[in-house]
Amino acid sequence: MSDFDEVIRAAREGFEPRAADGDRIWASLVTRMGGASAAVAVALAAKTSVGASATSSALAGQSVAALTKLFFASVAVTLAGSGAVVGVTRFVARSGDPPSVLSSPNPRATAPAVESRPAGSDGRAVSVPPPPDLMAGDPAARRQGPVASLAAEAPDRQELARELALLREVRSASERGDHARAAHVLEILEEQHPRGALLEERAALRAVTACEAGTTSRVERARDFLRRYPASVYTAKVKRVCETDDTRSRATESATRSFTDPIDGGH
Amino acid sequence: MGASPERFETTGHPAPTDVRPPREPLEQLYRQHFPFVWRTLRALGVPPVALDDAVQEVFIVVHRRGEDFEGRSAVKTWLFGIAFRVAANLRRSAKRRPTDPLTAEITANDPNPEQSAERAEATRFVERFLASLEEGPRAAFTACVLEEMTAPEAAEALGVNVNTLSSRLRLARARFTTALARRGSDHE
Repeated sequence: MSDFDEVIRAAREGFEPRAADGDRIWASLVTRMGGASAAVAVALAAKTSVGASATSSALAGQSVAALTKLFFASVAVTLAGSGAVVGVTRFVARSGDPPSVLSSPNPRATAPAVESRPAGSDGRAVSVPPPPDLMAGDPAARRQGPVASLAAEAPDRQELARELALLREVRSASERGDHARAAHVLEILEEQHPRGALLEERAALRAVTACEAGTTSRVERARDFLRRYPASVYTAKVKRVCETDDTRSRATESATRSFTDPIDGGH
Repeated sequence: MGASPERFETTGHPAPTDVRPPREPLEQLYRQHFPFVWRTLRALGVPPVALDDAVQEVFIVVHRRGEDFEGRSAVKTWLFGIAFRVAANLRRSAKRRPTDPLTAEITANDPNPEQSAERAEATRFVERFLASLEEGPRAAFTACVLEEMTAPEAAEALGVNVNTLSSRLRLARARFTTALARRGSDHE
């Protein structure tokens, strides 16, 4: 094999992603596109002056045909069915809070906090099942057929996507100084994902958010996190935000580690 | 975190060419073509720090434009064209905003630190070489050499005629051969 081919072959292998890259990006994509689909549905519902719930009822019987016919619709329902949007927006709508970007970490894909449904490319709203944990015993879930079953294939990923969306909202709210929202979404996380996959990230964000808000003892928050996760990669971040004489004096070897974003892992 | 039973295939390059319209759930398309999209974006100059967003952009376009895909060409050809435009948009956006992550050194953040030293060196060499090319020859080299697409496929993906594509490819291959010879003499 020539040097040319040898180098190209090695570079191809070097360009390959890791398996974790695919999982991570898919989780983000589900969240991001769920928000976009919801935004489209809301815009269309407003345009046609059709209430979301009325539209849902009227079209419930047509949803399967629409889904099998339309690529766009099948994707929208697959994503929304993963629960990245619907469960979150319903919760917020019930709580009476103002419109949220809860389901959309990307500002290009914001969605109002209403019960929203993706739309088919024919401009009509399509019935969307609630997330699996909310639709037990719902006959509509059985009507979704193969499309809905796709969403049920990877419950781990669905849960992760929902949890990740909420964590991103915490971070986003914290970054824009909306500490009340950040605290509220942290409570949602506790309620909906008490044994989530990203507990360490949540704890780091909780400590950072509390310190930024200045509503509790910074030392207490930093200590709590350091005690629970003494070797965390987020230690440096927590210490920096919650920096006090006390936490400085407790510096450990992990303090020299570079900060890794609690949510996106440095990507 | 619960272990995911399904992992994304990252070996077996190159993926077989398939001619099939993407009228299938997005997740299936993603599973099958994510490694190809990732590799292509890297080769087209999207730095590791921006790769996640760029991959998402490609599949968001797939999601939005799925019905426009007519199935006359391979899915890979269609995806390559989308990835090329996403990378070009990111590059233009990075020029307007000097602090954008895209201005970061390509090799500053190796997204795969587990690979061997030899492979890592070859990867950096090819990355530096690609970065030295103009957009057209770079895309041609990426498509035809790295991804082993045919000239007609690459021409279709990039929206140029085959003669133009072939000319760009010849230029890129000649420069790569020169760069390899220089590298060899540096190693001696």
